Amino acid sequence: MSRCAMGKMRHVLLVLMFVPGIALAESAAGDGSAWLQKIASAAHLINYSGTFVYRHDGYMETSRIFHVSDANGEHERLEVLDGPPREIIRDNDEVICYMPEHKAVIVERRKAHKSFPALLPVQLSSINENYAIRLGSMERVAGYDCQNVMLEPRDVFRYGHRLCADSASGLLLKASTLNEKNEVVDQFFFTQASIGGNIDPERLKSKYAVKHQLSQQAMDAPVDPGWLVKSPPPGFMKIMALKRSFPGKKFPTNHLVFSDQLAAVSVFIEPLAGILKPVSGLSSQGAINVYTRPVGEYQVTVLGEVPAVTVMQIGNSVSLLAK
Amino acid sequence: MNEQISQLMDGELDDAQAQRFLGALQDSGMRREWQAYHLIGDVLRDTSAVSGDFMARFSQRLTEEPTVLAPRRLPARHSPRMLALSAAASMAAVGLVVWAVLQTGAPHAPAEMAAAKTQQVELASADVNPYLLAHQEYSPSVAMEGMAPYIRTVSEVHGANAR
Repeated sequence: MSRCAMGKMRHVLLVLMFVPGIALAESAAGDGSAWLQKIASAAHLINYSGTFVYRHDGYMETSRIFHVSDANGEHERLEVLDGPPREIIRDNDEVICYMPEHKAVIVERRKAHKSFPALLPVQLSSINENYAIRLGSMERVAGYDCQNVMLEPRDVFRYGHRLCADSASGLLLKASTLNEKNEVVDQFFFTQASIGGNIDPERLKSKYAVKHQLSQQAMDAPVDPGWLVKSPPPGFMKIMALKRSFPGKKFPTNHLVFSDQLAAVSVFIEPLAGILKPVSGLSSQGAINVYTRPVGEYQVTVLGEVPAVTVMQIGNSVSLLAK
Repeated sequence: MNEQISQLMDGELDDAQAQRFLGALQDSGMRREWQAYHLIGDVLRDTSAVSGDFMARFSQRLTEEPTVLAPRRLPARHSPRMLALSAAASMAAVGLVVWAVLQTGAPHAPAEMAAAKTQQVELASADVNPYLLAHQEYSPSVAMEGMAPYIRTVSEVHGANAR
């Protein structure tokens, strides 16, 4: 094949890649999908700062956030303003989390997974399969005119979402998680936001001088063979499986992630021998449900921003195949 | 085995398989699985749960039930065929009873549900936060919503989390 023909083919391929996007954008659901795209890119590419409230289980917490996107990537700082001092700082794939009860910071380094400032077509189609996407009403949040985008779950295994984004930039200013009764399970909303412009780099520095660092990270090791999640709820596919370390844990933990490309469920499997106080049962906070049960000599912890039934079904179908 | 549970629940096992399987259900581990499956079904259907100790109380009352001593009837003459039929009928009845008990045993699963519900464990944030932090890194919601969902990672745990 001549180089010229190759070049032409590449053009045709490029055009083909964009055609489905254009076709989607023209349909009503496509408007919703286009908005999801806009929200996903804005979250990563726009500089912004502001104050937001997190509301869950009848409690409210106020936080301040600074986000900078520059030639070196993404840098963020989130600081909780009420209650015990807590802070999260992101520098690309490294997240440092300051929590007073640890008297230390936890450093999480991401591996094997790159954040990408856009939703891939495969992600969008999975979201479309599991949620009905439609545009909602306009709303004013923190002084900005916002477009509501509704994600209505097609079954009971996932929560609904109402995303409200600045109509000009696409920055998400209010996000509500809804249960099957359409009640708000948890919610974030900005009370003040500055979108765009420069942010003083000093704003991204930690306020807490902590000497003690605890590191946790994914390791270059596959999960132990034999572990099986037999019947994850429909639409949840395994997107990641790795061993990882946790601070203070003697043994490495198996970590599997299942996702419908919007919500995710993590399954952590670790030897009971390494756990001081094994627990068994269900726990929740806002949209996060945690289900723990022993399986043989192991403890299985399942958690995610999904209804209790989803973590339970996944947890109950974890089994270890005999070798 | 778990596949068989769902097959039995969906009525996909033939009689012989079902019999073998019901035998295996005597194993307490299997029975828990069986109940868990029903539990999931009940949760999905939003069926109200039978009280937690239903099976225990049922067995208790059954053992306490007085044995009724009724005067025996004069022996009737049965043809061998009738006997065989009635034997088959009793077998069927036994089958029915077993099934019914298993069925009521299933709402025992809501016992587990109830257990799971009352067994609302309180997890210390120190225990959960590292998991949440690891989880968030791979959740697509972060790609979509940015940093704000990370607040869940450090959000204060307020007493019992029972909803």
